[in-house]
Amino acid sequence: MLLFFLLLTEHNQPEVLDAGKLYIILTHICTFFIFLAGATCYKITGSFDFPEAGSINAATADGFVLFLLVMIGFGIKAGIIPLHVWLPSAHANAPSNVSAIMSGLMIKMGVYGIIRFLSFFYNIPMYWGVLIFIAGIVSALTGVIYAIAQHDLKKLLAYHSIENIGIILMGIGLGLAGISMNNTAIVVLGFAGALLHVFNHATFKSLLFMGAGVIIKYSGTKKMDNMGGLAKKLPVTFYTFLIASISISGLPPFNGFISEFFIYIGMFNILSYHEVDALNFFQLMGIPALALVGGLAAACFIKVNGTVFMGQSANEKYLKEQTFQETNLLKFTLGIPAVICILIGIIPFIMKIPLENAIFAITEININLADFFPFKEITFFILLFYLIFALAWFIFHNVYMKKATYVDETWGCGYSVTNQKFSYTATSFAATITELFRFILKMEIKKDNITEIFPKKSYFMTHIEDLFLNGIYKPSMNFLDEHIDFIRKLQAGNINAYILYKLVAIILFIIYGIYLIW
Amino acid sequence: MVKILSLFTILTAPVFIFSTIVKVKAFFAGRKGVPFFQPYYDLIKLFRKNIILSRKTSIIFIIGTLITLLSSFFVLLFIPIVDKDTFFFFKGDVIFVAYMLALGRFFMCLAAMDTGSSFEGMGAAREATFSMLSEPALFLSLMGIIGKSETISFAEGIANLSPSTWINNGIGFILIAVAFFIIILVENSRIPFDDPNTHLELTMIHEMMVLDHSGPLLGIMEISGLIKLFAFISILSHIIIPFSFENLIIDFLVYYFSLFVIAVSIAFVESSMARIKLRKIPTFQIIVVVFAGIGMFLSLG
Repeated sequence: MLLFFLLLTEHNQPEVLDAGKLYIILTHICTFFIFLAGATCYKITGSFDFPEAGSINAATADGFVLFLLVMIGFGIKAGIIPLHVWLPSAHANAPSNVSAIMSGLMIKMGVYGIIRFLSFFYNIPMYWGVLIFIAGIVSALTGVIYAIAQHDLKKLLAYHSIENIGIILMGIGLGLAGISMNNTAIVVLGFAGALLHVFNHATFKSLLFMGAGVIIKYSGTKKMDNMGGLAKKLPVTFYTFLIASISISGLPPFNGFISEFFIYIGMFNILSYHEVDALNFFQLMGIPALALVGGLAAACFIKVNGTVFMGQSANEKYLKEQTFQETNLLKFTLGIPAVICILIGIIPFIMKIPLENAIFAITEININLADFFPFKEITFFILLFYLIFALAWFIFHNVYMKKATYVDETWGCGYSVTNQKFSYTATSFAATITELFRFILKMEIKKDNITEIFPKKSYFMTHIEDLFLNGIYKPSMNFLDEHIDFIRKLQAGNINAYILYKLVAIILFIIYGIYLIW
Repeated sequence: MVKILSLFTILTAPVFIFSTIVKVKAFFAGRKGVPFFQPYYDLIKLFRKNIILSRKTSIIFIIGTLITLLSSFFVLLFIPIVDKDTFFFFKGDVIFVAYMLALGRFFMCLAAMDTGSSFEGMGAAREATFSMLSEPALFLSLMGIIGKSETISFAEGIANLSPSTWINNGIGFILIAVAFFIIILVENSRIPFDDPNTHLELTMIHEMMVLDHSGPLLGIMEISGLIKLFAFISILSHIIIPFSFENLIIDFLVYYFSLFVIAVSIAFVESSMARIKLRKIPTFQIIVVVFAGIGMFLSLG
């Protein structure tokens, strides 16, 4: 609720108000479902306290209802597709520091809620884990595909939050299925991957949002197509942003790789599990799906880094007058999460004890994580990677860069003078991929057709709609809007009428109370 | 002894494979072809040159190129070379290798974007798209190879392969081998997916990204390309020949011969096919994913 006001900091813009409205509606729906979940808990256990871990039988109808309510309620909070509609616009329109908090902490409350409620159950059927796992795959894939199509830097990052929530859910689903399969390795690796990814996502996503804030402030626009060549102007932002980009794509040698590695090993363990049945099929499909998600995320961040920091700016004039500089405080703030990304990438061992404790709290299994995960080898090879890189850089620098190095223009296919229009833009980079996924990406194209012999100034605009928001939510809301008009008459604005409602309500409660006592 | 032979293979086989492909293609075209050791001369020539940099590039242009080389070097540490032997292995190195390749590609594309050229941007976009699509197929076929081994490493997965796996799950392994062969063609930008010789921006993918690399930087790109081709072919050769003769020399010769056969078949495909349309490549890749997926499930038995 408080975040609603934070979100409305820049409330003079219409998009911000829209995003705020959508957010507040969905938060209330979310709260409604969580209250229902609480009520179901009360029905099962007879107490409003949190039930003890492992006290609710999951294989009953009530258990399943509670599971569904929790998944929907906290799913809205976490931004699982198709419950995510509030997330992109809210993240994109909030001030960047607020987006960092939202993405780093708030949507994790949803994940926390799901894990917390799941720990109340015992006798969990296999298909629960598989359901969560499939929700994870769908969120991860759809999130990243939508991300790639965005023009707005912060909206892109917001869709990546959905993708990462999907990866976290894949881990949780895997762990849950492992409990049903009685396979400790899968339980441990699934939950450890999910929990570590929660932490990692908080670090690199806050870093990305803060970096995006700096970029937007510097270049005066949110559109990636109008940016370019910032690497030389904002060096610290560039390096930290690059580190976070590599992490979020799940590539070594940073922390995103470590948590995805956990989940991968967990999924590969299913291969060696003795009985592979229809439900395991989905988990095996998780491996190529996660690989595809990784590839798409990498493509997306090549696009972001390539068009924002490299090449040439489309707005050279504006940037010349820009006086914004990286202060020491800014460098420090961006540096902290970057250092955490690097550190966990080299020494994942530092997360071993917290992860073991967390897994013990969820599943009450006491384990040594080093039995399942190659901590030493990872550290060794990542260090080797840094070492050889430093060596290669040293040799290259001393042998070649010291010699005369000529600097000239980029080869322009014969054109000697190139301008920023020659640079590849974000939209054109993404075009090959958005075309592939056109079945879920509905592109709206606005353009001015050329009709005369001497064409006037023309324009061309593309916009990717959120299929879930515009295809499911808005039509159903409009339907409600049209058909429940009669309820609106109740809210007449007349105080006398309201007092009457209250009186009626009190009388009804008294009658109900008498009925109960009787 | 095995390690020395492996090291020897690493130094010679990449150029051997490349030159075999070039020679066979020249034979099909009725030409004589360049000398067998030409790649070495080219590399020496490139490394003696100076660098020309674009004014727009940042330091990423050089870092990216170096990391591309580094990633292919790390792949060599874990793939089986002579006699199913790997230099190192650890739990999950299959994933590590696949992600190292992805890291190399990430930086190669970034280095291309760094020049601000529209050609290189186009190349990077295409490379990112097509490699993204071949990732699931790669992982599916790796799953088939690794199978039920506990350690999820190339060393154990390949060591577990034996003639009996072929006899029991032959169809699955044939599908995986075919899928893997096509993955080699896609990942290493061979015809029919990409043409390593053309410099026409409408058709090419990989070559477009190295337009602004000069001298030693171009040499590094060529080396990492050669190593990558070798690494993939080496894995395929171990899928096809899952047995050992218990004699190191014979094994070594058989291994080299299998590399030769695969190189010839790549050259044969390149000579007998035209490039497929750029827009058709994704369709083709999805078929490969299906192949690899079915093969994987059949091979699990």
